[in-house]
Order: sequence, then C-alpha cells, then structure tokens
Amino acid sequence: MPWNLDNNRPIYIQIMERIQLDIISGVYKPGDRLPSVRELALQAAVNPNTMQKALSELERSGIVYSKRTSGRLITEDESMLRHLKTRLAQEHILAFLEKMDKLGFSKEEILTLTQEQLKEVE
Amino acid sequence: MNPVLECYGLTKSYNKMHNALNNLNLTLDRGQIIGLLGPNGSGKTTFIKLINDVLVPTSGEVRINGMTPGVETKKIISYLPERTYLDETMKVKEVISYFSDFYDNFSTERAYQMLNDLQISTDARLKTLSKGTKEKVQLILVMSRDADLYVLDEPIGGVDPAARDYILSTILNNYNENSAILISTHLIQDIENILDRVLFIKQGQLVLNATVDEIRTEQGKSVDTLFREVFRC
Amino acid sequence: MLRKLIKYDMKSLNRFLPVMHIFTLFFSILVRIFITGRITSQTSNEQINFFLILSFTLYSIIIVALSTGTNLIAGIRFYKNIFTDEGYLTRTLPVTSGTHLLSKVITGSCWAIINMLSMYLCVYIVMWTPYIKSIAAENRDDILVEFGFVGKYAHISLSAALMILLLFSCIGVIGSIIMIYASVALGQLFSSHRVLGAVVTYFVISTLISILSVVVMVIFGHETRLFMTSSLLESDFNFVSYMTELMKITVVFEIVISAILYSITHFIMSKKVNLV
Repeated sequence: MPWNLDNNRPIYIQIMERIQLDIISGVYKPGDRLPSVRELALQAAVNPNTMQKALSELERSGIVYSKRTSGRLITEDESMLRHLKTRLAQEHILAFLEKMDKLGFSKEEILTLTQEQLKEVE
Repeated sequence: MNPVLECYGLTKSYNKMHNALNNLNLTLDRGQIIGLLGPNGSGKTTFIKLINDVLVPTSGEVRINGMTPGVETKKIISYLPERTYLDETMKVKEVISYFSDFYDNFSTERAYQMLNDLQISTDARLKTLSKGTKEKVQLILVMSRDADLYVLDEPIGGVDPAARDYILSTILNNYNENSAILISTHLIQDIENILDRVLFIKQGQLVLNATVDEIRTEQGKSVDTLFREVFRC
Repeated sequence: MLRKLIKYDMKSLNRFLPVMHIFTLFFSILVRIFITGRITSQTSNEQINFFLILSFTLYSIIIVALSTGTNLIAGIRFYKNIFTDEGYLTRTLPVTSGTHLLSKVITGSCWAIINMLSMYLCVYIVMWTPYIKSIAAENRDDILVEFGFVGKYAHISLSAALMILLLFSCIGVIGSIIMIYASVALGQLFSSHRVLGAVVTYFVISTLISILSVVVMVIFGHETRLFMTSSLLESDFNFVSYMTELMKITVVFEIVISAILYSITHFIMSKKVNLV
C-alpha cells in the first residue's frame, strides 16, 4: 500500500514524519531494525534516493543509528524518544491552535471547548 | 562514474519549417529515475527515438555511456516504445525466447515470474491479448533486462490502476545505482513520488531540469501543479 | 547474431509460403491427371488446342501469381520488420543494419530459389507426360540440332545445360529479391505514402534497368539479336550460342546492378532511417 503523501511539501520530510510516527506509536520498538532502503521505498512507493535522504536525516537527528552489519536500528535512548513524542505533540497542538485562531476563538474559549470535548469522549 | 546519457546541441527537424527538438544539451547521471515531461508534440518521443537510434539527428549528437548510438549502445539500453512493437502472431513464450536469444542481459526467469504475478499465460498468442495486457507483456520484457539505461515511453498510459501500481513497484524493484530510468508520461501525479528528477520539454527545448524535492522546497508545490502552470494553454 | 536473425526471419516467411507452394504442386498434379495426361496421339487437333489453351492459361496465371506472391511476401516482411512498428524492436536489437539486410537477403533468396525450383517442378509435372516424352525421345536428334547443340556445343550434355540454366535463374531471382528490398528502402525516403513510394520506385527501377540493359546490349553488339524473330530467320542462327553469349553479359550485368542496389539499401538502412 503506497503511503499517503501530500503534494506540496518535499517528499523526504513527509517520509521522515511518517517513520517518526511509526516509532512513537510503537510500530517499531526501541532497538528494532528498520527495513532496508529498498524495502521501505517499495512499501512507500517512493524513489529509493528520497527514502535514503529521509533515513539519513533521521540518522542525523539521532532517532535511528546505523550499525555496519545490521543496517539501521531505532534508538534505545528513552529520553530522546520521549523528547520526540513531546515535540510531535507540540507540533500538532500548534497546528490546532492556529486553525482555531483562524476560526476566531480566543485562548479561553479554546480551552473551554477542549475540556468539554474531552469529557464527552470519556 | 561517467554519465549514462549526454546530449550536445541535439536537433531534429522533420521538415524545414520547425525543429521537433531544438539544440538540446543535457547530462544524466546513473542511479536516478528521471521523468521526461511535456505536452503532446513537445519533442519527448523524438528525443527518445534519437537515443534509441530509430531516428537520425539533423545535427548535434547523443551519447550513451560515451558512445554514439549503435550495436554497443543497444546492448545496454532497454527501450519501451509507446506502441506495440511485437510480431502479433507470436506466442508470449516465443517472444521471451526471442529476447533471450538477442539480449545477453535478459533474465528469462524474471520475465516468467512477472508474467505469473500478472497472470498472463505464456501460451497465449499476442493477437489474442487485450491492448493493456500487450503493454504489460512489453513492459515485462523491457524490465527483465539488466540495462544501464531504461527508456520507457508512456509505460502506464493504457493500463488499469492496479496494474499501474504493479508496474511502478516493478520499476522501483529494478532500480540500482548503476542504471538510470528515463520515463516519459503525462500522468505526472501517478509517478511523481518515484522520480528523482524531472525534465520539462516545451516546443523541443529543455525548460526545466530539477529534482522533485528542489521543486517542492523552492516552489512549495508539486511537480504536477508546476507542470500545469508552465504549460497552461 | 546472423544465424539467430536468419532463424527468426525464416520462421516468419515459413508461415505463408509453404502452404502456397504445396497448393500449387497439388494443383499441378491435378492438371497433369485431368488435362495434360489425357493428351495422346488419338486426341484430335481441336481437342489438343482446347486443352492446351485451357491448361496453359490457368497455369500461367497460377505460376505468375506464385512467384509474384513469394516476392511480395518477402518484400512485405522486409518492410514490416524493418520500417513499421516492428522496426522499433528489430532496429533496437544489438545487430548492425548490414546484418539485418544480409539475413533478409539470405532468407528471401532461399524462398525465391525454392519458388523457382517448385515452378520448374510444376512445369515438369504438367508437361512431361508419357506421350510428350515418347515424342521427344523419337525426335531427340532433331530437337538437339534445332536448338543448336551442334559443332562445338555438341558435347554439352542436357543435364549440364540444365545446371547452367538453374544457376542463371538463381542469380536472377536473388537479383529480383534485392531489387524489391531496394524499392522498399528507397520508398522510405518519401516523407509520406512510403508504401506507394516503394511501389513507384519498383517500377522506376525496372524501367531504368530495361533501358540500361538495351544500352549494354547495343554496346556489346547484340542489338539485332534482341529481336528473336528476326534473328531466327537468319540461317546461321544458333540458339545455344546465342543464349551462351547473352547469359555471359546478363550475368555480369545482373550482378553489378544487384551490388549497386544492395549498397543503396544498406546505406539507407544504416544512415537514413527515420521510423514514423
């Protein structure tokens, strides 16, 4: 199944986001080996060079690291994963706040609405 | 590594009035999947035919692995034309042995595997197959070779979306650092994600040569959107 | 590579030609059984005329059609394989244009020769009835003299003469195959209507060759002999010596023309091909 990628943003960035999400949500566990570039490229139906670039970027950020014999592994550094999780949460919240702002809600209104919604979900 | 394809002042005119391809200068490196994009009649197919020695340039030259088109370049280019080029009276398996007879880098095993994946009978005569199936057979033949340069002219034009996905994954599967894949199409959206680089051709001239990520980073839009802007009628 | 090309070219010709030839041979046997075989010394003159005219007319039509068909099919295969959509595969095989042409000439010639031999065989089947055979045997000496197997030609055996005739015909049919290919190739130089171009070219080339051959004959002093009827009236006319002289010139002429046409075809195939 090709990955759902949107049109306007660089593909490698979207791939990075997708893999980060997979790591946070537990598709890949700390210490797991990532599939090869070729396999991932086929899975995502994207260009292998783009996949390579995305993985190199992830490696640079420290989320994955490469071992000569066994390819790329997910970091076992729990604090780094927690940090990543928080950062992703922040990004989502920021995006949400921006949209609410566009809809014309004040900070207080947003807070109230959110709390009400949370109660309903429970 | 030497470039897989070079063009210097490549020009082709069918009549004296206008050039189908006008002074094309270009170098393509290995390890890339390149989209050759342009509207109908922009010179895409002319360019592809010149690479494959079925047209003779009016002036300028094209080189593959540093060689002008000839027997040696035909050994390393795997070409899918935009038309059916097989002898329709042959059976699928006869065509397979034809290819393996003439091309040293043809893998019969790979071809049979792909035919099996797409459930195409090897005993069928080509003329009994539908147009889409014929196109699939041709693509299988072309992708079963270990070539330095694959030249695919409209590879996904006539097939259904499911087969399209299979074809794209076949192309990706075949990718390696030593070869380049040149794909001409106007179904940009379908193949955008598998491309490294795109070439825009307009009225026989190269108007853009950039990577997909460059376009997205610099212009903030997809290749498909950019194409619609550049070639707005 | 040449061997592989020949294999596939032969295969594609073999789809049509054997059927045509077997049909003609079968037809010849019928003609022999039902028409010519029934002619005996008892048959009246009128009947002979009727049977002969009937069988000859039918026969000429079929045999002309067979040879034309053979050449035409060789020409069409050459055209389709090199210059149409199939050319996109043929011309991107790792093979030179020269090898392609050679393979086409060899396979086309093979069939042209098979065609020629089956034509001779057909004529033999139809004509060589026991009745004609006996007449020929009775008048053997007279016939030989009539044809001019006298003097220095007396020692030529009939089989040797036949062999020479066959060899001569072979050169002729190979020449005609090359001429068809050359016409197809020259037709490609037209920007459109290339098939029509090939047909027109064919007639232009044949006309030119006829004119040229007359010129050659004149140069070699055979101009009067061109007209058989007037020559036959000459008392010293000897058919065999005439044919030998004629063949010598014609063979050289044919080979030169074929070589020129072959080179032209080769040049077009390697330097001038623009597939539509």
